[in-house]
Amino acid sequence: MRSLPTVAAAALCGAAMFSHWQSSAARCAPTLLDAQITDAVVTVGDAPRAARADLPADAAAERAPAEDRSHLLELPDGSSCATLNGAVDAAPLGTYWGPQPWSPIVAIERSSAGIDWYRHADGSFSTTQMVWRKDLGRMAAMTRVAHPGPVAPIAPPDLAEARR
Amino acid sequence: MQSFPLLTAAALATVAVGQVNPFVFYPQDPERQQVTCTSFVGRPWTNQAAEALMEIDQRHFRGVADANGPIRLFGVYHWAADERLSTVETYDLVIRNGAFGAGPDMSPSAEFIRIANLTTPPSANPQRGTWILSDGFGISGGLFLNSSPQHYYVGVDLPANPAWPFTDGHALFRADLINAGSGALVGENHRAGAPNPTWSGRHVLPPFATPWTYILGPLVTSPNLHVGGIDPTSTRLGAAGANLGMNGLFPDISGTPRRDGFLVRVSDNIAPFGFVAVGAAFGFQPPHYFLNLLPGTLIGFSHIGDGTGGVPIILSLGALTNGALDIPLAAPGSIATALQGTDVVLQGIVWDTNINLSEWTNAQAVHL
Repeated sequence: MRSLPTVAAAALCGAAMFSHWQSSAARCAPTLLDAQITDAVVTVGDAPRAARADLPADAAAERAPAEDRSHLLELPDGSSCATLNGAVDAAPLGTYWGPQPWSPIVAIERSSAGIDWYRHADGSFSTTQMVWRKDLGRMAAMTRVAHPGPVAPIAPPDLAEARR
Repeated sequence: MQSFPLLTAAALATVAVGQVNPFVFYPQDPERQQVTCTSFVGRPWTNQAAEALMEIDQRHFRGVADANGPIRLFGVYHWAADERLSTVETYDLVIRNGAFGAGPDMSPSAEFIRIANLTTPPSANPQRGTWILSDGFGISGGLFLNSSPQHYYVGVDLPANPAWPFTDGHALFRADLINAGSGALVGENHRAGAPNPTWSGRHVLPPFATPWTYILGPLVTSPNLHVGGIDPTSTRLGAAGANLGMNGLFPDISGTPRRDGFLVRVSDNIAPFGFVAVGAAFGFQPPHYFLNLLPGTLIGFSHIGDGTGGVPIILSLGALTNGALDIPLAAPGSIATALQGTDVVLQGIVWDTNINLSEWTNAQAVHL
């Protein structure tokens, strides 16, 4: 049984996938999984499994198209979501979430820098984006997490400058 | 560095990574402890452009991000203080080699990686606030170095911002050294004469060492080991406990009047309930790969023996709880002042008994 927050998050993921599908169709042809997520949010994980249930395992393996997961972001709760900002092969979000309890996605927000971020229920943000990697000689995906933190006083002015 | 079969190293490169650990050198563990020791939020060179650089020097640390010889870095972690959250801040990540002498090599060719023009998240809040940022390079796209440089630098490159600190701008959390001259009531606690641990990397003028530590460091898969100095006469931590930064690296055991003690803190997000063994040696030992020390695979190299000079001295065994374990090793007043000038090196193993996978922590020196 899916919990309500999971369904809500899945709906957002579906919306992101749909948005991604529309905005970057030239770069990323929608996959079977994309269509299922967009069309029926609550059946993200169940539909492909159910469709193959009546087939022998070998036949299912032969008939089932290979899932293109390159535009999916694995979440710490085991579900997946669309990557943002056209990222391909982004590392799972849980890798960088840290020891904080998982907090579900509640919205997508675009910053003034033009970067889309997932907003989480606890006020955290996360995103994926492609960046140029000179060391690799190619673009590569980053997975990024920002948790809200405490504040601290500002350093006395010109301390470092005074030391120069 | 002892060579290791390339095939195994390559296989390790493809191992799925569940979590990463920020290797941060700061008085408190920013992931699991309430941070009360922060002196200020500040920038490496006031409001001018410069890189805030954390130094990883083999005189103090070895085996950070050890992937069986190669160094593998998965991103950069830092706490970004923003004087106005509603305007996004732009910054670069940089990891660069050290210069031939002290400090960073600021030439572009010394950059192992630079990721430009990252920005902070959106916010409608016009007040000051903080983002705890984990900027991941990606798993297949982690940064590989063939071996650990003698000293290298992990940093955040901040553009000039004349609005800082009055109305806007990005700064980092820092803990000031006692001799920083900033008037900080909390911060680092170390013995007199300890070197400055971080650097301001300027692009036109020479870099200079800065008298504070930052909440800043690489994201790695090796478990962390930090030595915490215990000085019962100090209130600079802002709370009870041990100083995991400069007090652990440079404790004062002179007896005039301090005679600090120390503990070891092992932390790991990957096996947060793993079994822990901690050992020691006098000085760093030649790196050694143990093939059959534990059941299953043991990742990384020992820097506390037994390359040639004897087996590691096993000090303590235990288990992580929620990713951390503190192991008291020397009570204040218990270390003989005659040991001044001695280097003790501590290193541990975190063993995930569920999958029989174990990994060496980094090794850290205590310069007594």
